[in-house]
Amino acid sequence: MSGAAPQRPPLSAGRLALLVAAVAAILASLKLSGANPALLLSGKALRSMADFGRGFLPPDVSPAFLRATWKPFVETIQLATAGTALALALGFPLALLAAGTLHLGGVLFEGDPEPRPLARRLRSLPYWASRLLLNVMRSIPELVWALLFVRAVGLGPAPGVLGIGVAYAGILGKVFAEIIEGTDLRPALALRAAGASRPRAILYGVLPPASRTLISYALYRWECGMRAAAILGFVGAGGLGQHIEISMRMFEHRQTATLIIELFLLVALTDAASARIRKMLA
Amino acid sequence: MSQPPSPDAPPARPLPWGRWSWLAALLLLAAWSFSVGEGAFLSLLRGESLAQMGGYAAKFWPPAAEAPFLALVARAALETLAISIAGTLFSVVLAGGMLYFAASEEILGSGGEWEGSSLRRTAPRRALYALARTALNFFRTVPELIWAIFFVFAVGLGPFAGALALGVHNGGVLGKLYAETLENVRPGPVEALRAGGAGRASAFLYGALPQAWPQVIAYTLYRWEVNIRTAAILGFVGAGGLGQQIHIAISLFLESRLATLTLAIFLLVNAVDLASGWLRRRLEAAF
Amino acid sequence: MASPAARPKAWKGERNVEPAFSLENVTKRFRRADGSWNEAIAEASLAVRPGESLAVIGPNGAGKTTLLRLLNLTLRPDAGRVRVDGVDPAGLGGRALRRLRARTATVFQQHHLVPSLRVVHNILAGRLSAWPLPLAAFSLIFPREMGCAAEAAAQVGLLNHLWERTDRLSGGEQQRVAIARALAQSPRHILADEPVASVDPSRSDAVIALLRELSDGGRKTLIVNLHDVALALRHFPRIVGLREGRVLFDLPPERIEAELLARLYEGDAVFGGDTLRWLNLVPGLGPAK
Repeated sequence: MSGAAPQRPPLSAGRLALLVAAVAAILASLKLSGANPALLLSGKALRSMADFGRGFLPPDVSPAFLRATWKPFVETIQLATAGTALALALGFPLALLAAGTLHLGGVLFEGDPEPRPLARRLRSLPYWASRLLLNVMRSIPELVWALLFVRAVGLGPAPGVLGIGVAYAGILGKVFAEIIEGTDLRPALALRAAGASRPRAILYGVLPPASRTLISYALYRWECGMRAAAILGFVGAGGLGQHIEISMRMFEHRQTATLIIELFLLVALTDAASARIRKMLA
Repeated sequence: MSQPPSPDAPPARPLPWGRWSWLAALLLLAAWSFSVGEGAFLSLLRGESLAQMGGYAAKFWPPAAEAPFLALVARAALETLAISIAGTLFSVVLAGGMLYFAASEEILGSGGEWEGSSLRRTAPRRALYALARTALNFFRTVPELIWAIFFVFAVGLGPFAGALALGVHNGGVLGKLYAETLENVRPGPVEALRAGGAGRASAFLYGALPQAWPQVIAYTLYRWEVNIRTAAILGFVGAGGLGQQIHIAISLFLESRLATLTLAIFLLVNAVDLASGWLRRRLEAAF
Repeated sequence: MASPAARPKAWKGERNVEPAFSLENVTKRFRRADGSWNEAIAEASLAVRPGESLAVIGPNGAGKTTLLRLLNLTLRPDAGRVRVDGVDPAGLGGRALRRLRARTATVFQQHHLVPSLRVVHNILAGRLSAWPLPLAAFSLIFPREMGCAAEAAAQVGLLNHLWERTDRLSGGEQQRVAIARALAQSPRHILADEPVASVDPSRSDAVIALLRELSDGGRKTLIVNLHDVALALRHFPRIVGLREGRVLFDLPPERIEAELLARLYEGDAVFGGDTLRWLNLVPGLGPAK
């Protein structure tokens, strides 16, 4: 076998450049974020951390306090559920518009007369508009959305719900669109061949097979919503998060510990519930 | 309600208690959960606060664009970016470090029966495994904001606390994901390399890691995308970056500044999403 | 009934050279799913001279793979002793054990290559026993010792595929990558477990001839598990017949009779039944029945 082997990997120069750039970016980030291992491991830091941590044990499990945490516990569930429900209501329609395979002159359009160029360009408008809208919705963190809404609907859980609703609508919308785009179109095509209109073909041919995956992801979002609801509590949206913030401010760390454990349990319960539901559907 | 037959879709399994009662139950659940708003939603739907909302929304335009403020925003944005990158780096280091304990013995260890895998070594190993897994669980359950407060106590206000918070929290998340990925890796190549005299670490590097690599990259870059969003708000508890500026703008009722900051977050998040997608495609390829 | 060659062969001359491999009354048991024990290897003894080539044949389940794994120090015998180059692995520390293992390169039936790695990395993985960890890590990004990799690749005829992803190669080509990896190890001994099982039958001869050539040229010991009897008889000067974990015979091909092979494969799903008729078609066998 003649011919010398190429002595360098095909992408060597680019790879070296990428490596150098990555290392530079990481070093710059460390500097800019003020990373200082000595600071973390200094006696003062270790003592502060120890004091902080020590205050957490044992968690406050007095019956009086536990009863008092019931309302925030329920509030967190309501917050997360309402937020996810809103996210579904907003995100699902947008996802339908944002799924390219449904609109952008794909296989589902076979048999239709060829539209004029203007009509074809207009057809892609809802696609781009919904994609942009979903992008905006999910690029802004829930917390920021919630803060924006505070002035509009007052303090309390309402802006939290809206915050989760809008931000999660963006995330759900994008993921739903991707799921739908990844769904096999043949059942819908068969329906079209049998004379169904495009919307009908989508409703009966694309959505039912995709529904299991869609529901599964929605359940996952619901679980994430519990954690998000807790964080939003920090800015006054109620629930466990708000009480965690209050107890930390008042240095009642034992109560904070209990609240964190309750949060953990809540997430675990939600995880178990969603797993159960997923199994029922599978 | 019968559906037209679809050629390839599996027949829908009948749900217990019927489809409609499930839907009704879900709607009831949703309605009940909205009641947490204590009437705020109802008034929203009735349009009572719309005028007020309109007036409030108008204050956001035009977004603040004075040069000194824009410079401040740019610096804060860079700081937030730095927090997200440093935080992701810390979490990879933490997760990677814990991996030795958190992944089970098969993938990392066994070269064969001549190694001393006697009972004496197995029991403490299993204990360490359980301990590592519990620690990772703990790291990822405690929300990042709380870690941020903890680290502000330890190292003071500023971005370092934010980066550490992200590092610890995501260390837990990535640790679990890395361990799961590794456990699904085929052990054949690792054993083959050990049979030829390779050490544990080398065999892992050439036998297990390349198999797990695409998934490891995907998870890590995904966490970076999550981290940039979280880093933006950690400033609320004093960890610097855009979050801190937002806190200030809110407290001082400076809506036009809030608009600019929101726009900055939007651009930053999109930039990171794009970079992450590009990096993922670049790095997934074979070594 | 004692088999003809249950004792290790006596050395002729070269009395001071340690055998490359020696098994002394080795037994290896595995636990079955129902809890009972299966003796994969039962009181087997074998001695192989350095640089010798031999083939191990036998029906499915005879213990050929287990035998190989005992020789390459992956498995530990439950009774008896294994020695490589005269060294007993028992009591060896980690590093010494690795050094001992590094003398033997194994080519596995399923190759055990990493599909997503480029061929060059899979080949260079053979050098891991000699490389310190930082070098190994560095080489993944900027490959080192390219000369060694190129030479190994050239020897198996894959020089042009060095930078391709391993999973883009055909099954036969991947098997050759596995052989190249074994060569890169610069071993004293080469073991191969059914190396032509997933190879096109028309190419089997070529692969076995390649293995013979590579080991004879470098004076490396070669032990190959084969299920194709004809292939074994054609290429190897020494054949070991394994049945139910025991060495049934250990002979050069010209002394193997069809009757012996029939006993070896008796009851085997593939070769059983009409064994004799099949065996008469096998060239190179001793006096026909």
